[in-house]
Amino acid sequence: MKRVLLSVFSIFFMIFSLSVEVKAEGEKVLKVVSPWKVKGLDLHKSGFMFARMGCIEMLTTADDKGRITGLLAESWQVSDNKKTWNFQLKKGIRFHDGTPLTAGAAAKSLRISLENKGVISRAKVTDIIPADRLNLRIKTAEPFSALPAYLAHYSAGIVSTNSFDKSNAVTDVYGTGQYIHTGQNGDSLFSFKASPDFRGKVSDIKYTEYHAVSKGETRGFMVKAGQADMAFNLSPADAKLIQSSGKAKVKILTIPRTRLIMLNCRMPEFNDASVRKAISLAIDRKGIATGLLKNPDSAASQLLPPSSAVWHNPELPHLSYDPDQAKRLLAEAGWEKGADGILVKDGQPFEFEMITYASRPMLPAVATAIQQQLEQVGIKLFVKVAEASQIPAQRSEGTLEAALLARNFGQIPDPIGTIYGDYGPEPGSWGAMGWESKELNHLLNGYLNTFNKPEAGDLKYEILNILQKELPVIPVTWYEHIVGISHRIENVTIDPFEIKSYVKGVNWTR
Amino acid sequence: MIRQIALRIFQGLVVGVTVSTLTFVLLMSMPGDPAVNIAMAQYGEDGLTMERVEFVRNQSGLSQSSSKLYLTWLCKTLRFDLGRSMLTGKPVVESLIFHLKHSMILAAAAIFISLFLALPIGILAGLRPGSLFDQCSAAFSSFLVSMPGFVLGACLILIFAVKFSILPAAGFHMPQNIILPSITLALGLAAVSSRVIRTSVMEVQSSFYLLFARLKGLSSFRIFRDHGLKNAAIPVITFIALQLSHVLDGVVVLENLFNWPGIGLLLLDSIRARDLTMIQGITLIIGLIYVGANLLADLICFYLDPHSTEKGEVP
Repeated sequence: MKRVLLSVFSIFFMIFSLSVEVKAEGEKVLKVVSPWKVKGLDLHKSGFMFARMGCIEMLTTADDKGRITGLLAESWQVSDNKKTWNFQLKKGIRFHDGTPLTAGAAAKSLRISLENKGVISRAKVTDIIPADRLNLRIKTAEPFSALPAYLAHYSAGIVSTNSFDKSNAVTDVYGTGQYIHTGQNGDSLFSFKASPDFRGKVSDIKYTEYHAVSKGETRGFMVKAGQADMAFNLSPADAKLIQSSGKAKVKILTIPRTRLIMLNCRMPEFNDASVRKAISLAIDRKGIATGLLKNPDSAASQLLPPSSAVWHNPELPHLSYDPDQAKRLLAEAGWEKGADGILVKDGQPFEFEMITYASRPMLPAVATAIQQQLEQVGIKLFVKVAEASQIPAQRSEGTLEAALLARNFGQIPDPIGTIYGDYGPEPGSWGAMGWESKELNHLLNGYLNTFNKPEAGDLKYEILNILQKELPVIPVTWYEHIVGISHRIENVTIDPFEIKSYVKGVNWTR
Repeated sequence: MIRQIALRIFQGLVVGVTVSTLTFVLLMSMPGDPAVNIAMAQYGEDGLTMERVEFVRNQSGLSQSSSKLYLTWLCKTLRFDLGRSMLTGKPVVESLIFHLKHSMILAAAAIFISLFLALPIGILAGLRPGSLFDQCSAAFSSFLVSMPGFVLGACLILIFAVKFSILPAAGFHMPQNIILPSITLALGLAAVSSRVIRTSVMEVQSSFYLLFARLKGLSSFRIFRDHGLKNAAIPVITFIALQLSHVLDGVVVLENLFNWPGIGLLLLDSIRARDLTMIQGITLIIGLIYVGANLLADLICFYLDPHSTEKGEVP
């Protein structure tokens, strides 16, 4: 018995001393903690992580204003008929397996991305061929000016041909980025080391790790405990706690993601634009942004936030809060106050169900606030918190009445990718429901077909104008990226478009 | 004895396949489209389009009829092939081994610590029922049982990880990662098992054979060591076997809090994504674990009390 007890204590002592030793030596591994698990190595499933950990790169990228610049591509030209693009790749770049970056390797990566329904499958691409060693040719079915923006998406990451097996599944990720993928443990821990051949600015961070931690509170604990150097998608409450503890820093950045209400415009209640406007006027965005999100600047005045600088139009009339005007509009639309204070029309009370989900922080809380605010103007809202997948599922069944969601307009740095997919001729799972505008479709196609920048500029403002006036979806607040950052690192910049490496420009604190 | 073991193994297979079949039926009758869930898990919520949903449906085999899907799974399972995850495309066995390994490590550590605490507390309380020690242990046990594991875990993280920075808050790749989740789990387990041990010891103390041993003039220590311990252990072992099964698959809240990749977390993720092949693989394994743990408990009880087979009680 004594021997057993002694062994147990020895094991615990060893484990304990190991923990102390790690702390004392200050192991120099930069640890990034994010909620998203990696569901396989194929880039349409894992590219977000490999791109953000600086392992893979795309042909193009976006600057902090959302303007498209070359990354692996040196330059590009489009043919006279605007249907053939030539991308010149940068010289002297090698993949992490030692093979050179060629147009052939890039073509293979992009063709597989196309097969796997990566975003370039929505760019009307018909052919991808290596014209010569460093010249890649991409053909589209019709003129598509936003192609370079689509190529900045992580699913269009370029990896070595050795990354694929015979069935074109990714078995190892050999990218061209600053960090080499060195190992993984399950679907939630990935390790990287600095590439000695990287062409860009060298950082003193030699090793990095990506930890997928789904629980927000745990990510907060990890950054406070000094176990994480960067923790993403924290809640405002966690941010406050971290700041007050002084154990880490917090950075908050408004990104091109918007919390918005999707309404089923096939329902008679929402078919009327003036009713949708009344709902918009009944929402106190400033109150929600200040009281719940602790960031008054996140109240949405239009669909896209200022961080989407190329699209945001400060001159657009703001979405305002005016419950009296909302009541007037509802009365004009034939809604009368019932005995219980809820509006009634043709004997039917004005009530509907709004689904939201908890995987994005604060959505259920914002939904509850909207519920209370709509009740002030006589609209009864039932909030249902479910899995995010319930929204597209119910939408395709036709049973969805309304949903509160956080839509990312920056997944393709030019928001046209998302706007066209959501409000264009065939709206996707997160777009307008039962609403269509021929005028908008014409403008959207015009934008995609034009290669004239001033003309595109005018078109995008007209597009935003229609969305602001018609309100097929009602913007509520802009989404803020809350990141906990340890004192061990400095020069951290947050990419509003969520495509650049987390570690870009970051150094250990001196 | 061998016949009994063979019977239990057969029972295990029947339980596993029945549970998996029921799971399949329930999942297929749930509202919604599994292809939407899988597509969302693969492409993320931002990347979900109906075109991708159809692509996933064809790729994962969900375009087949439910009966064909089930029969394919059953035929493969009978050949000891659990198939590939609809979500990741990886073999189900590969993920099961990884997560089961972590669940077993956590379960073993938690049960070991819980016994380390519960045995002395339960035995002492059982030997002196109604004493101050017994009352204090009962109060402490009630306190721990009523405290949710999530709250207890968060408190331990705040103290040992955030305040004193001597243990990691979460993770699974370092040896010291096991300490906080296993202690959190162990405290909850020890709270219950210490009371079971106490009751068992009390029953043995008042038994006829112990009275006879006292009349023979043996010392209290020797009576308890030679006659009490083995008899008191039988109900305790059965209880621990049940605890083991629970700890392996029922601690998803703690696994989530400590980011410990156990089988419970895998099941939760798979249910969220409606990954049918993975869910069926997990339920089959969990069924087998429950039967296996009971068989193990029976074997230990048989070793401790061979008369039981003669009486037809166990196994």
